[in-house]
Amino acid sequence: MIRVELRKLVSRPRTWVSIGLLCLLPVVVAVFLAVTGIAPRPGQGPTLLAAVLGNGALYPAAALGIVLPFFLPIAVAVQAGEAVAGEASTGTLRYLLVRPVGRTRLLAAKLVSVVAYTLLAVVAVAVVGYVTGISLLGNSGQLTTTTLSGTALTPTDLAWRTGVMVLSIGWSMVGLAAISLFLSTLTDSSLGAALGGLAALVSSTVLVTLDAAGSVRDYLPTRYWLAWVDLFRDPIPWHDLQVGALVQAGYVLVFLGAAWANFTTRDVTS
Amino acid sequence: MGTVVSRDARRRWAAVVAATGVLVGMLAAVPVLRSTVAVGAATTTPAEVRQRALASASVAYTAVGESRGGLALPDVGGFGDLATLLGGTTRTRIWWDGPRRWRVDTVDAAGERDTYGLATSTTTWDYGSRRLATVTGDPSVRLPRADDLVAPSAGRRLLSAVGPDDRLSALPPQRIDGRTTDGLRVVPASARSTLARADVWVDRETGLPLRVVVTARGGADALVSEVSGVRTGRPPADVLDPPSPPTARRSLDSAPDLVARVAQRSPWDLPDELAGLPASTQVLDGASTYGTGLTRVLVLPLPGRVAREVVGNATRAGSVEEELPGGSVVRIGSSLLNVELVRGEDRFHAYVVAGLVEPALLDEVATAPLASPPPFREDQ
Repeated sequence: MIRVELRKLVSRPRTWVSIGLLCLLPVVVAVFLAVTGIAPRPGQGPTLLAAVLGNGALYPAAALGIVLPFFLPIAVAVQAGEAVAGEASTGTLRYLLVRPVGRTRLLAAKLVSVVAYTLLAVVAVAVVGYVTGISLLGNSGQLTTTTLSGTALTPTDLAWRTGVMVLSIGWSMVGLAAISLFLSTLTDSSLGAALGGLAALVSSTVLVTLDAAGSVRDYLPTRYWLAWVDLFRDPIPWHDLQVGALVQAGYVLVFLGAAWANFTTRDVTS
Repeated sequence: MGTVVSRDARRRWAAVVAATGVLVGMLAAVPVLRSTVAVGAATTTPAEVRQRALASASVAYTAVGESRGGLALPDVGGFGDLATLLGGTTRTRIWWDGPRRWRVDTVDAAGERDTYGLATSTTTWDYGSRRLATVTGDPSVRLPRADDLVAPSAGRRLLSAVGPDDRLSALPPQRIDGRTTDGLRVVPASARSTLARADVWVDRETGLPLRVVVTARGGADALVSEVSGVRTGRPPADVLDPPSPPTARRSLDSAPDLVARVAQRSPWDLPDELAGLPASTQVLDGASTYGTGLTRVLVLPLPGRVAREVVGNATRAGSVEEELPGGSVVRIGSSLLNVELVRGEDRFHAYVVAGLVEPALLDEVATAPLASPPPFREDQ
């Protein structure tokens, strides 16, 4: 079942078009930076973008910083929202369940597919960012990359920090995917499920900035989304990254549980 | 069939709700349980707690800090980050090895600004401007920096300013960040102070002030500063060494900001008393504080050109220049901190007058040197 869903994922043109569009914006930004040589001032614009001129090896991190606020969550919410509701709206869900496949297994397969898409998208942006950065923005090969704290970053440092960043952002997106997947089991409208996930995202983003919501801030899904920036400080403060991973785990657990409870007991008519 | 499905649904939903409840319950219970840990009664007097806090400057520790300012000061050019520091939330990381070797990072999602305190200088790395600025010496007058608002430093500064007439009392001990703290309340003696009270919670084990809450007369918290994740012990030496990024712009100065620069070149010799307030600290030749204890007023003479520039910045930020006997004044006020930019009718004598006091007292202090202009400093 999982293999079927993964095959379906990679064989769909829509998957690659959405990932291509995700990668397009960082490429466009890199082209502008390379042609004009004008980077945003440090501290302005997306994080780390100011430091990429002459050091393309840093561009994967900057590229993920560019797509993280909007495009990546939108792509993940659409994919997760479509997982079950898409089958229902096209009338194929009934036929899927006619096969000797348990609903839990089907949901698990859908979940694996969504997680695979999420990681694929994050890795694709990072890889395209690296290739674009090296080819368009150059790589001095020197220890000219600095952390936000002003200390030097070796290529090895940069590589493992970028790797952890990919995992951190990927895991953050899985939390959002779990919310959208749950909504996808509630409705036959994949658009509605995706918009519901995005509504949760926007609500969380607004509440995080609100002092009056300070008592719940640390438990909001987007509270630690930007904690990956800490990977580029020296010394690295791991606290927010670790707590962020736990908070996402909580959302994944609760909303996947709710998706399972609803999907395995609902009356499927379409 | 419908009954079977609904029973099954109920069972599964109940499992999910129960798991969610356990999760939320655990999250809610941890802080409650931590706060209910028995806190032993204080065995020391407020004066002893104060002494312990003042002696804590040599306690090495690492922590993260947060200060929340509630002062609505206008952002006036020349006053640096004052409005942001006192009117917003500042998050810091602190490595403290002693008063002559420390590091405080001000961090946000876009970058960071790190200040390194060394034996004879202070170096600041600003990622935003890619600038490495070193200030030699320790200016007696300067604008506040983020590291001044870190709870242990702010608490010590506040407690060291307490005068014999100010009232010091004990607050019930509290658990803060898993540590037992003794509370102190300081109330200024003068009714003309805008400071209603300042509460400081001092770690019973180390003497470090872990939380400072400053409340203005209006009743609102004007500044709350606290540290968490406190670990005592010397931080790694390499963390305390300023970085040396190859592409950074470097500068070396003896004054970190406009106020410090002006104080170094103060043209007037101020009197020993203004508006009935005795000079308390001769912070520099030509600049002084007046008053006692927590009720003090800083008077900083300004060169005419600088005064024009600062007054221009203040009026552009929305402040209004008003008449004052013998000159004019621009008031920059908040519930706690009040600042006046005063210029004489000759446009030659100008001062910054500031303090945690009511504007009327500042007016009295400001009009005195306008009515009787002080002489030039002899060393000018």
